Amino acid sequence: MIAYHPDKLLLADYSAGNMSFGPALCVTAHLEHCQLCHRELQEMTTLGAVLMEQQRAADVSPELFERVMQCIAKEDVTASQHYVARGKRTALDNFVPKDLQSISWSGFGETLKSHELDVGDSEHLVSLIRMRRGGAVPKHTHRGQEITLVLQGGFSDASGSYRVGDFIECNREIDHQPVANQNEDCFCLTSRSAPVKFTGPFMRALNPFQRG
Amino acid sequence: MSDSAVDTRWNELITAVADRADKKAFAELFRHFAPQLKAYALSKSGVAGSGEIADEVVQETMIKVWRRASLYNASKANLSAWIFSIARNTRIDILRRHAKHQSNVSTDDLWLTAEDTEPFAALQQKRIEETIRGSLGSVSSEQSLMLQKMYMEGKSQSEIAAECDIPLGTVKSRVRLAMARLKLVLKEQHQ
Repeated sequence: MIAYHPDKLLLADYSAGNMSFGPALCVTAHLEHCQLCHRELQEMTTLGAVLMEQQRAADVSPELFERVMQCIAKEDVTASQHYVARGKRTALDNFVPKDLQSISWSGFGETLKSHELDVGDSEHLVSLIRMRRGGAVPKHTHRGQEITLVLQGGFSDASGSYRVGDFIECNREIDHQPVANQNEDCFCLTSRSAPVKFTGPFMRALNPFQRG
Repeated sequence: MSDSAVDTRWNELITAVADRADKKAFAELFRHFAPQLKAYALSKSGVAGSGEIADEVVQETMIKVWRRASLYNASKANLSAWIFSIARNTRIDILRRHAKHQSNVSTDDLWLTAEDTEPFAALQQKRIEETIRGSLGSVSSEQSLMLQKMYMEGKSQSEIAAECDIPLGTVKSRVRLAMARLKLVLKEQHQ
């Protein structure tokens, strides 16, 4: 059972399309695990549709109608062959190989490794994180918004323990030290609007070099 | 026609497009949805507010409706919600294209699409839509303005706060109140 969900307002922003690609990918990955949020999203999307329908309609020129009709007349295959649904593929599959172990990881010694993803978002650093089983991430706080989504395994910090599908949003007020579960490596997807700031006594020196 | 008769009609039309590539049925869908889509595109200020780009949003959205018709499943989403989600993604992608984003990633790559949506009893679907329609009138004008700016103008909550010159917290509480009014509070009910 998933215990940590995106805030309702975040979900509303997602349904309205007002979200950068990095955070949006994290929300999608959560929705793929969480039926409850999924249903809420459907309600919010329906709200968008009702609002769209209730605004004053705009004039559409006959030329635009003709142009669209000409475009579809040129389509040489039947509609159903054109587009394939994502089906069992998840949104993350568009950016990450299925076998998380095969990824080329970088940085941070053995305990913490990361792999940066290009999701077309210049304002957020989006990465996969691998925490070694039982490993602790140095104590840190956040300069901006950080979203973490557990993909495999789990970890805990002073505020709770997190399992697959859990969506954790941190901001600058939270100073925490995540520890991966003992029995398996923990993989997470993260999106952050600004680098984390290490706050432990020896870790401060790391900050100038630290992107993630 | 009653609401449900209208829904049945749209479902017949989209099915005709999916099964037979029926251009007449598509033309009827176009006449109904294109003016809504254009108004939606125009309500985003800035570059999308121009007529030319709004037409681009209408054109691309309707062509996707044509191409994906067979993926539409009435038990997963009502047609207007399905079309709204296509339009939302299309508007974002067209704006990114015009802003010269150096990226091939498109909204459909990472947003959950209506086709991926969990099957949801059609009746329940209908109930939600009716609840929203029935309660929108009871949302205060202040709250309704927030929804308008979020969903139609595509503004983030902090952009709305800056524009309306009110604290971010006020924007958030107005949106929360509106959602509660519309009974979009499933999660709270379950917890």
